Amino acid sequence: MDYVFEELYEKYHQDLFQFVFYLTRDRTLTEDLVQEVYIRVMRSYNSFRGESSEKTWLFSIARNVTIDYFRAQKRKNNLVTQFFDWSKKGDFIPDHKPLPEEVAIKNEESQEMYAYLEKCTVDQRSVLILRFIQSLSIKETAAILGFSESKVKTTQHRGLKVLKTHIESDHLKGEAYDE
Amino acid sequence: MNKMDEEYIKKQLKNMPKVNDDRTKEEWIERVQPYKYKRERTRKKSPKMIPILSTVLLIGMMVLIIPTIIQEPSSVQEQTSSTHYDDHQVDQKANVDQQLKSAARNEEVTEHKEGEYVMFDLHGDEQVVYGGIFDQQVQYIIPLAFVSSEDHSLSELYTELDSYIDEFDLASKIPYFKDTAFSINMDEKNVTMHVPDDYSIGEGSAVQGKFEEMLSRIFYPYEIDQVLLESSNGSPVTLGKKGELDSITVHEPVNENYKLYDDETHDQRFMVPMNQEDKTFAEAIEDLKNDEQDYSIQNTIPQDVDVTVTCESEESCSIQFQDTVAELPEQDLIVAVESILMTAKSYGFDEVAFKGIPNDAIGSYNLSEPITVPLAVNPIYTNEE
Repeated sequence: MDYVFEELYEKYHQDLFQFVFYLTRDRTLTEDLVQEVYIRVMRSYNSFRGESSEKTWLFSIARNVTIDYFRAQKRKNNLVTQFFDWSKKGDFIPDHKPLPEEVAIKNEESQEMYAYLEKCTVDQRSVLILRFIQSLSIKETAAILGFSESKVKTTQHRGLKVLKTHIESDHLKGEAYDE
Repeated sequence: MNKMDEEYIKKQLKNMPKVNDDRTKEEWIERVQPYKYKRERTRKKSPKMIPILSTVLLIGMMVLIIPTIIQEPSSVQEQTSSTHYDDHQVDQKANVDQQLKSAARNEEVTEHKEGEYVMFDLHGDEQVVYGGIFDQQVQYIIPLAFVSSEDHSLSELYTELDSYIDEFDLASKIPYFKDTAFSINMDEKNVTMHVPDDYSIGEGSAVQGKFEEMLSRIFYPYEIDQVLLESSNGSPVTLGKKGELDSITVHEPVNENYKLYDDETHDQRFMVPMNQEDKTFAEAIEDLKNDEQDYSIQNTIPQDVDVTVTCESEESCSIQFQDTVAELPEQDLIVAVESILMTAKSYGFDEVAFKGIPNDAIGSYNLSEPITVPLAVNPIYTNEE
């Protein structure tokens, strides 16, 4: 079974890691969740029937593991309810985590975009990450998220709109400050 | 949003930096290896599962051992060195280990026969508290099944209903069960709902109008006939426009089909029953192709997928899918199957046979045999971490 792990690792590990990282924004947590992804993969590889691509299957598991984690956290601690109140968290939760090095050394626009992504719902963020950061097609994204293709398009549109709203809002604030 | 804005944002997203993991493959192997065969989740076994699993294990062991016994004399003759024999033993042990691991994995699969939106069995000492919330526009009641294995009576668990709804941060909270307590009398088939003196069922005629339906939904599965209302000071209970009431009759839900409610705002999806009163089962299944975008209700069978319904008896029916179903992703098929199963349950069927789906195994379902209708829809396991 180890060859399965090695093959998946070689082909997809960095993309998988990046996907989970952009969802959670926490490197240590990402490591724990990716570990759980691999454990689930190893346990269930025999039942993988090849109907979807290996990559789609792997990323579906990653998405499920991450969502499971979010849900478990939500139940565990009502104090973090705001964090998981996916409709409101953007308004309530300031992101105190330091910027990851990769983002910190990029330009201001990338840093802003990283912050704005947090304002999206988990579904919206998943779609935006897969579509634009991971460069997957609508069809692949739909397969991973278990959405219809039209739902991917709608969620993508809504996510982009959220980003735009925050970009505009911050720019307006900036202009007011300058004046 | 104009096209230029959208393109700018897309470009910025595409320019986001790659985030790399700096651990080595060997470190990952070390992390993963110890957990490879560890059970993912421990759930108390249903008593009826134990004999089945034991039998499966026994048959597995016999399949392994019998050929070994039969072949033993020739094997011994062929052994020219003790090393060879040891290798044989090692191989055999590896085979047994593999078999046991495989059995353990099979057990896991059997144990986890849970749907996406439905549940089939209770395990061990689990009990179900049926609850409900509303969709965002208070058009539909979304039934929920809180599954608990806490050591409490059903009355105590129902008294926790409001805290369950609160704890799971479910959308569209309702005040129906706030500060209420329930005493369930199974022998008398009634429930006393103890409410505070200032009890209110919320503003709005829609919320008030669905109060009886909600109570019916949450107590009908336990064959309760009546809910007796009792305020703490003994005064009559006034329920909005309904005025003073001392009891509410529990009604059997009308025939319904189940579609998908997608609450984008809260990132929650549930199966929701839709009234199909006066419609036949076949019509209700056909109606699963229709969505109601205005209320975020999605169809569960795509428009272009043809289905034929044949009911062999009052207990059993079959759904024949046409060729177009082959193109559906597995996730969509699971949703279709589960919505059909719940619809069949509402119409009083016990099982459904699915035909024409190219793969017999989708999710945890084996479609080569009829599937029993689920116990409940939208399960939420209250004890899971």
